[in-house]
Amino acid sequence: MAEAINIHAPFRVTERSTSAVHSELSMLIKDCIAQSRSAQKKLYDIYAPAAYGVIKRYLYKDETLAQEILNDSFYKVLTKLDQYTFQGAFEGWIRRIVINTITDHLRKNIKEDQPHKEVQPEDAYVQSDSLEKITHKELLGVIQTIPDTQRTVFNLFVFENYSHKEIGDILGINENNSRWHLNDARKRLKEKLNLILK
Amino acid sequence: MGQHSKHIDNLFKDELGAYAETPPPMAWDALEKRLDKLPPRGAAINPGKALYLVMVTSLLLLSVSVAKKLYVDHMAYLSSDVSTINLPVKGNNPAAGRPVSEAAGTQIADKSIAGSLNNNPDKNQIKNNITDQAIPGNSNSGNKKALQVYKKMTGIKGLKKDAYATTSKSNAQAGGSGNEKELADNQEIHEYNSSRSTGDAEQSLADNKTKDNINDKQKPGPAPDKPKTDNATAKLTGKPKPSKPRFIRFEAGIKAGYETGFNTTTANKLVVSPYVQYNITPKFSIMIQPAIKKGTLQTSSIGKAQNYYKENNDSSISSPVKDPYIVHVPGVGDFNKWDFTYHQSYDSIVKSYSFGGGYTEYELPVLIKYNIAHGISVYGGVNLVYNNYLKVKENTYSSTQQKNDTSQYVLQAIEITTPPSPQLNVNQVLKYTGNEISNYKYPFPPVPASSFRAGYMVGFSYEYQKRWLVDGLMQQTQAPANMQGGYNINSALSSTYFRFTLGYKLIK
Repeated sequence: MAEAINIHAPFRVTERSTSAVHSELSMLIKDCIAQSRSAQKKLYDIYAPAAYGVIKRYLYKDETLAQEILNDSFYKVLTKLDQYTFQGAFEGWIRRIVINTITDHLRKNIKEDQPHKEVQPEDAYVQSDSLEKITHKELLGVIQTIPDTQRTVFNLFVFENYSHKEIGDILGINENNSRWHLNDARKRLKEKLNLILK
Repeated sequence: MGQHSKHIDNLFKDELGAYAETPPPMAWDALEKRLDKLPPRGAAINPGKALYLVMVTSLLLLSVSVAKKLYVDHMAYLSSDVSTINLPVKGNNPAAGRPVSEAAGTQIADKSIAGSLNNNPDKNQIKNNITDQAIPGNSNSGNKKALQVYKKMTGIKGLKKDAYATTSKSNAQAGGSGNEKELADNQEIHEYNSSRSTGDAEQSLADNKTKDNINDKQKPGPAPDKPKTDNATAKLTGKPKPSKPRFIRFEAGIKAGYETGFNTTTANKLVVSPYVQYNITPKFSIMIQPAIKKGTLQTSSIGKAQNYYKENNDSSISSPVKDPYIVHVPGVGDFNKWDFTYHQSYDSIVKSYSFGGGYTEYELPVLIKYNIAHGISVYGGVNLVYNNYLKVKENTYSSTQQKNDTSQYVLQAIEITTPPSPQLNVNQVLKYTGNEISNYKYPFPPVPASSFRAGYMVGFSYEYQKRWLVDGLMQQTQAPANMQGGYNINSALSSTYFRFTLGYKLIK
């Protein structure tokens, strides 16, 4: 076999530096501020899926309300872009707007009831050999089975890392009640998961 | 099978923490419809615009009220002229509210009576008779009656004629002794009527003051009041003499200050503006206030930077170098690896764009000004502005003689000892990011070199010590949108600006 084999080596690896990404984001934001519809669509396409995922954790079953909140959130994002100061991650800025929009909607359904006695669950751990097999949809379905207040508190505490004081301020409930709602949420979720995993 | 244990928080966080779901397409459609309803950028009502609306509305209302007042004053002025001019004319004078002949007759009769008293020895008798006849009515008819009684008792004939002649003479002589006489006559008649109205006609007729007044007719009297002179002139000519204005018609001065807007796209300007003001009335004036403004606009990048390259004519391919290791390709066999190095230098060119910097603006506003209180005026009007359009500046960053050395190898059967030739040429091996510089075209369309723009200007002025002026105003002109790189570079020209100036009156 006397023929030569040509193997093309990669010529150049282009790596986008952080500054390049930042510059690209700046341009995109500037275009959005100038009301360039294509830029707005691009920004929406980039960030809407994550935002919609966050919203669905709170409102998995209510598709209409989830879309309404997404609409409100991105309307705020696109009309208040000039207020973004490029201090901190842009994703975080959008996420905060989304969370605020969600809690604004849900606050109406959350009523401060009588003080709850703090309940500490005996065990917040789930044990099963099929834990890894559980799907996103199943988990989202489980989380939707618990009451609005418990679900909201659980989401804010676990996913947004808010303290009970912050949760109390956001939802207008007592700090201790926030603790109670969190523990109640864990208790309910554990029961539901055990049913699924059996 | 061992059981896994996981805290419930971590279970959800790990699985759903980064959960993302693409929203349905209708979600964007709904958002886009909502965004379509947004006003164009900068068109939303902001505090500045609200202030502008308030000021324009106020100015409009003010103008209407001023126009109305001017109209009313003008009509009143015309009415007063008619009554003054027609007074000596025989016939009915509705403006005077009574027949002119009767009014004139009253003067004649009163004056005749009073004038003849000095010469009549039996004046007490006459006075009594007159008083008896005249007092009850205390009216013009009473005066007539008094005259008739007096004539009957004294037998004086032609008195009315003489008296009338005297009055006519005084009317015919505008100013001088005629005026003095008329003044004295009027004074006498007034005093006579006044005394009659008190119910003591006998005393008033006998009053020495009346006599003195009558005697004063022979003496040079005091200078008559200005309005009476005007009236007399008007009576002579039949036309009102234009009254001399009691305020300054022309004012002029110079103002200097600073102008700025309240958003990031506006320029900061230094302003110098002379002004000329013509006062139509003490409160109402027209002002021309041309200005030269030196603006500075913050430099901003627009559009995306573009990368280009330019290949230099120094490309080369090195001689093949055999790699010491044999390459084994499974199922095919063993090969020698021959390395080639491709070389070329190039220029890296980055094009970016910005706009901003300094520019000069000229404006010529024509303003209507109204004095609303002592020293405080408001004004508003149209504004014509000229300036050079802001241009997009092209920035070029060029880095020359960059090396592009890339290796390429060829596998050749080990039994062949002759070095292989390179299988690919330079253009196939050496690649560049961006575009060849020959493809570069200036990405932004050319814009007009200059333009006139029209707009509005509203403001207020405070006058201090008759000389110093403190002005605050708001103005805006419309400039056509000039989208460059997704950015309207003319937004600085069409933004709302606020100006603060200090001025000094040079002519007042």
